[in-house]
Amino acid sequence: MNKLMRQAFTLAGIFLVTTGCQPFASFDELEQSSLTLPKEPATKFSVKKNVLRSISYQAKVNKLNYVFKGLSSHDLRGVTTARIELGHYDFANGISPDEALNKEKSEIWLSAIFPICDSNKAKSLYPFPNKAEVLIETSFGRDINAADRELVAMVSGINTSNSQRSVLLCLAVIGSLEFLSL
Amino acid sequence: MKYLLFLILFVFALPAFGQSAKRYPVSAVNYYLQHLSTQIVGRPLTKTERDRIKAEKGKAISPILKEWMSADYFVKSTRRMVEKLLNTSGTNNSVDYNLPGNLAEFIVREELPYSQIITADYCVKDNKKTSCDSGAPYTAGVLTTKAFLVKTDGRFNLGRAGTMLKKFACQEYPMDTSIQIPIYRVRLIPMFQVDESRAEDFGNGLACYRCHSQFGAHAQLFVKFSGAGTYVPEATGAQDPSQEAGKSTHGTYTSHLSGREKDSEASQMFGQQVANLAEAAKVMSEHPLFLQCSIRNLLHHFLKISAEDADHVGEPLLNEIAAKIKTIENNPKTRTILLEALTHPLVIDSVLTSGVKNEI
Repeated sequence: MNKLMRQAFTLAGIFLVTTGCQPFASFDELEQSSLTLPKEPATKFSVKKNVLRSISYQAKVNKLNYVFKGLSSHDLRGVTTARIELGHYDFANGISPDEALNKEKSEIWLSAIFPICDSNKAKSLYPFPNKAEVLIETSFGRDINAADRELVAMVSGINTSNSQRSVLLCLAVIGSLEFLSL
Repeated sequence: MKYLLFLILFVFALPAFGQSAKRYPVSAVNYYLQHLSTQIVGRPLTKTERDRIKAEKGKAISPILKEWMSADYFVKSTRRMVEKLLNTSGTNNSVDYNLPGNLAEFIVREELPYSQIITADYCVKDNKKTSCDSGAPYTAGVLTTKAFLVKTDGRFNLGRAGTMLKKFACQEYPMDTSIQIPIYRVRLIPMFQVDESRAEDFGNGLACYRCHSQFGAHAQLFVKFSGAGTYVPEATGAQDPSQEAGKSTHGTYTSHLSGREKDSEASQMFGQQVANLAEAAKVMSEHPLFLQCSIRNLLHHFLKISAEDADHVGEPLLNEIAAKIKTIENNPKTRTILLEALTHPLVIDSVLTSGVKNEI
């Protein structure tokens, strides 16, 4: 056995060890084996950057229910009345989902959530200033940051009652892009 | 020699250091799950979940996703995916457009294979199995609901065939002839035998035979369904001379076929002979394209990426995810498909690199 053959056997041995010492029993098995090389390697796909991915109507309602620990149909009346403008769809009647966010939609959303933010339930869940940061944390699903503290400070500086400050902060948070988009 | 040995060992050890061992920082995991939470569970991350992410980093992704997929919102979200896929929801005087969504919801809630979306032998109303509304002597999930049939109706049944192929196999005509074997030219009606026409009667006049030799086989499966989505046993598939091209009698549509076979539902799907739409749907559901397409559709909906971005998810990646899914379940449930897709490192990387913050 010459040197070249010894090297070849050594390499073959290493190959078998590293691949689990499982020689292929048949051609079919080789074909199905994950060890067969794919024609092209799998790669990442590109997702458009800096695109506003606004959430669906159902997600808006669900998030409101989550933040305010369950809302009645009466609490949600403003939202359900404006459901088409807020992205609800009804294909049977020719209504496709329009989840675009713009100035008009923002105004509709703020009007729809005002009764919720102004409710005793919201004020008792998140009284200003004690639970201001809890409202932000719960609504955004993240820890408080400097910008949030600045927002709370700004609302604190408004010359009104804490009850009204609670409503203002609620509108600022629930009406924000961060709440309404992914 | 020793350098060669090192090189070989390095090559074979690569997978151990590759994607499976990827370590994501806490901020990246937070970003990824925050991106998904609204679509899957309809709320932001909770304090408990954020604490878990801080402690477990990337290892938290799979268990958190699993927990979310038991939520009612996930079931409803999958329903909405199907409704938006087929443009069906609500009701009007004549058609219950909720049936496709009802079936999607039932399949996920009952943890049935996702393929039942086109193979179920039942429809669902008030969360209970019921017969479908087209009156066909067989059932093929959403495909035999009036909702699908009415939404996609049109001359020569092109809309029905094209939508079925696009939505459940993510393919368009002309497709690879090794997958869908073309119908012999002589079997087709004259207008589809030619390669180009003057387009006086129908279509754009280009590549007639190339597309319609495949279209024809799938359109034939709908030859007994009227424009109102009703099964008409006496439908002949023959052109009604008093109407425009593509329209037959009894409110049904003209077959692509010229011979006596024009009134038969028997056809060919992806190279296999089938007796009717239900058999064709079964063949489609068992073809690799169906699972690949299901992964694409689920990524499109749950990552909330554009249709264009979803179209660009590469086939090798879909194949890789599909292969992993097949090792878990041969006829996978929606949860299994989505979980494997969303925990694939390349899917995670794709979302993370798209972020404004570019977390990786």
